[in-house]
Amino acid sequence: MFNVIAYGIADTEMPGHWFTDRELLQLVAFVRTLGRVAPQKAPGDVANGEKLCETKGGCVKCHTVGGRGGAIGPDLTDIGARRSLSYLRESLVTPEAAVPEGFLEVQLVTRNGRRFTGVRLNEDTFSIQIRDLSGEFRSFFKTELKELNRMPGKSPMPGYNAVFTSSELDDMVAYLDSLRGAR
Amino acid sequence: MNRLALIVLMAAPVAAQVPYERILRSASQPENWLTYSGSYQSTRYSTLAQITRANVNKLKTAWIYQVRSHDKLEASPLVFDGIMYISEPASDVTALDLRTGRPIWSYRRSIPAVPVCCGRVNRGVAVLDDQLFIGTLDAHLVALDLKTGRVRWDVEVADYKTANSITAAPLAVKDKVIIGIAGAEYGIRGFLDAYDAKTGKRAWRFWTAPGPGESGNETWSGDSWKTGGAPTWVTGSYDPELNLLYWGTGNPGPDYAGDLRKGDNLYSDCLIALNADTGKLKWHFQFTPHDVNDIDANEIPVLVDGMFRGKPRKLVLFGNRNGFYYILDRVTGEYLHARQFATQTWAKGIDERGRPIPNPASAPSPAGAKVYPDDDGAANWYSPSYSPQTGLFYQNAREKGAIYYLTEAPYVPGRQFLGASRRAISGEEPWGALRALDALTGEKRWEFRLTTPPWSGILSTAGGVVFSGDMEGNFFALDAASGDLLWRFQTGGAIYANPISYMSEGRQYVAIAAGSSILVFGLD
Repeated sequence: MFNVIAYGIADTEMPGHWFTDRELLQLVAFVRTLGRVAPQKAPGDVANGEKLCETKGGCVKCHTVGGRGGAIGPDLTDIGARRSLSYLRESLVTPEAAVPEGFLEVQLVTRNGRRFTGVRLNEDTFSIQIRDLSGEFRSFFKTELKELNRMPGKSPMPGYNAVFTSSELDDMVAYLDSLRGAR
Repeated sequence: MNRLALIVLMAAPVAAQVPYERILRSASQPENWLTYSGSYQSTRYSTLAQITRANVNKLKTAWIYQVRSHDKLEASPLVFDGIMYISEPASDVTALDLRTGRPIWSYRRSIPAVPVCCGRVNRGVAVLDDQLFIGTLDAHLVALDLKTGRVRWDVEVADYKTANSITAAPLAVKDKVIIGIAGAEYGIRGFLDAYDAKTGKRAWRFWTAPGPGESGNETWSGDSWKTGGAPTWVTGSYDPELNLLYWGTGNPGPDYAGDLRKGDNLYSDCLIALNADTGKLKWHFQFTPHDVNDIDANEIPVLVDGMFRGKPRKLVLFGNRNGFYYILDRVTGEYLHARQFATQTWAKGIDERGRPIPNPASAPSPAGAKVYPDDDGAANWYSPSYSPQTGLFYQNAREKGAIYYLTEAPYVPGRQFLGASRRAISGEEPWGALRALDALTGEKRWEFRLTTPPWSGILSTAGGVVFSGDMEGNFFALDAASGDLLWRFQTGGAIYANPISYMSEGRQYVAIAAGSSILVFGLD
C-alpha cells in the first residue's frame, strides 16, 4: 500500500502522491483502519425512504438509481457504500455543504438573451458544455455567450429540511444507505 | 536551381551535415529549425511570413504522427533537409519524412526505473555535423548517426540510481554538446556538462552546487551543498560574440526545508554565464536566493540587443517561475529591471540590486503557508517568445497557489528530498493567460485568458502571428500585436510542448506536440 500511494498504479488513474515516508506510513495506518469501523445502523425505514424518493422527494428527476433516473446530480446507485450516514443526512438538508466534484453549477446568458442554468460537463478556453436543469446537453462557444457565471459551492438541489419531516429524513437516509449496488 | 536539381532534391531528401556554422546562421535559413529554441538567441521567433494574420484562419492539418508512449510528449522538434527529428518518451528518437509524417528510423532505448519528479519526459534532440544527440532519462548522453539512428557513442553523465536524470534537449556549440541534469527533488548535486561531440569525452563540468574551495560554497551551511540540487534541466542559450553560454538553474535541495541549507545557496535559482570552451563562470545572477518555494530558474534566457533607457545594450530577458520578468545586461550580468507578470506572494518586492525582499509568511510551516505561485510556478520550462516585429515578450503565465506544510526531510539516496507536503487551495479554480509584455519594461500590453494554467510554449512569427496551446488540447493563433484570436484547432490532447515553424517544398508549416501526437499544420 505504501508503494501504491507513493508511486501510483501504472496505466491507471491512480497517481503517485507527494508525501514523506512518515506521512505515508501514517496514511497507510489510517487506510487500514477504514475497513474496521463498525457499520452504523440507520434508524429509518428503507422501504418508506424509497417511496419518498420516487414521490415527494423527486430524487430520480436529477439522480440515477440502478440505471434509471436523471443525470444532473451524482449517480446514487452505490451511494451508501461510499458515504457515511452523517454525510447523507447533510447532503439532504444542506446540499451546498459539500458539492461533489464534477458538478459545478453554471449560469449562462447567450448573446440573444437566452438563459441557462446547469452543471458543467466540460470547459476549455473556447467552449463550455453543460447539462441544463431539464437534463438536456448543451454546448456553447464562449463567443456565443454574453455572461458565464461559475457558481462554486452552489447546487441546483434544494434543501429538504422543509420538505421532509424528521422521521421522513431518517427514512431517506436509511434508503440512501441501503443503496450499495454495483453500477 | 534548375528543375532537374529540384526534382533530385525532392526525391532524395538525404540528411546533410549540420556544421556549427549552419546553426550559427539559423536566422538566415528560417526554413529549418536547427536547435531547441530555433536559434542560439532562443527567441523562438520565425522570420517566415507565408502564414499571416490574414490567412492563418485557413490552416489545415498536413499530417499527424502518433508516438508509441502515453507519457507526456514535451518534444520540441528539429527540422532540416526534408526530415523532422523528434524525441519520444522516455528517451527514444524518431526521424520523420517531412512530406508525409512517416517514420524513417527510430532509436529505442530501454529505460530502467529512474526516480523522477515530473514524468518520464524528454524535450528534444540537438544536431551537430552528422550526429544527433539525446540526453536520456537514465542520465546518459547518446550520439546517433543522423542517417540511420545507430548509436555512435553512449556515455554516462551521472548515476540514475541516485535520481540523476536528463529531460532537456542538449545544446550543440562549436565542437561540444552541452547537457543539463535534473533531480533536485531527490537531492542530487547539480552541474552543467560539456562533451566532445566526436568522442563523447567530457570536456568540462561546472558544479552548480559548488564544493569546498569552489566559489559559492560559502553560501551553504555545513555539507548541505552535497545534496544541494540547483539542476540545469532546461536548455540554455549562447552568444557567439561573447562566447558565453546562458543557463538557468533550479531549486536548492531540499526544496522547502531551508533551515537544512542556510545561506543563499549559490548557484541555485540563478542565471549563470559560462565560457563555452572552458565552463568557467563569467557571472551569475541569483533571482531567488535561499529559495524555500521551489521556484526554479529553469526557464529560457532570451538574448536580445536593444536600446535600454537610451543606451544600446546586449540584454538577456527572463520570464521567471517566481512571477517576475527580468532584464539583465548579458555582458556583465548587471541587473537592469524586474516587473511582476503574474500573481506572487513569496516576495514583498525586488530591491534596486535585483534581490527579492522575502515574505516570511510564504515559507512552508507546520501549520501551512499559502503561497502564489505554487511549485509549478508562474512560468516553467515551456518557452516564451520574443518578436522583434512587435517588441513584445510573449509569456504563458500560470495563476495558481497552494498551501505548503513543513515536514522533516531526511536524505535517502534515490528518494524524494522535499521537506513539505502540499495541498490545493480549496474552492479555487486556477487559470492562466498568454501575456504580451513590453520587452524593455515588462509592462503588460495584452493578455489572452486561458481556462486552466498552461504548459505550452509560444512561437511568434514575422507573419504577425503568435501560436500557443492549452491543457484542454486547443492549439491556437493570436494576432501578435493585439492578442485577438485568429484561429484554433482542437488537437484532442493536452499540450505540453513548444511550437516550431519551418518550410517544406516552398510552404510554411507550424508543428506542435499534443497528447501523444506531433501535429503539422499548413495552408492549403
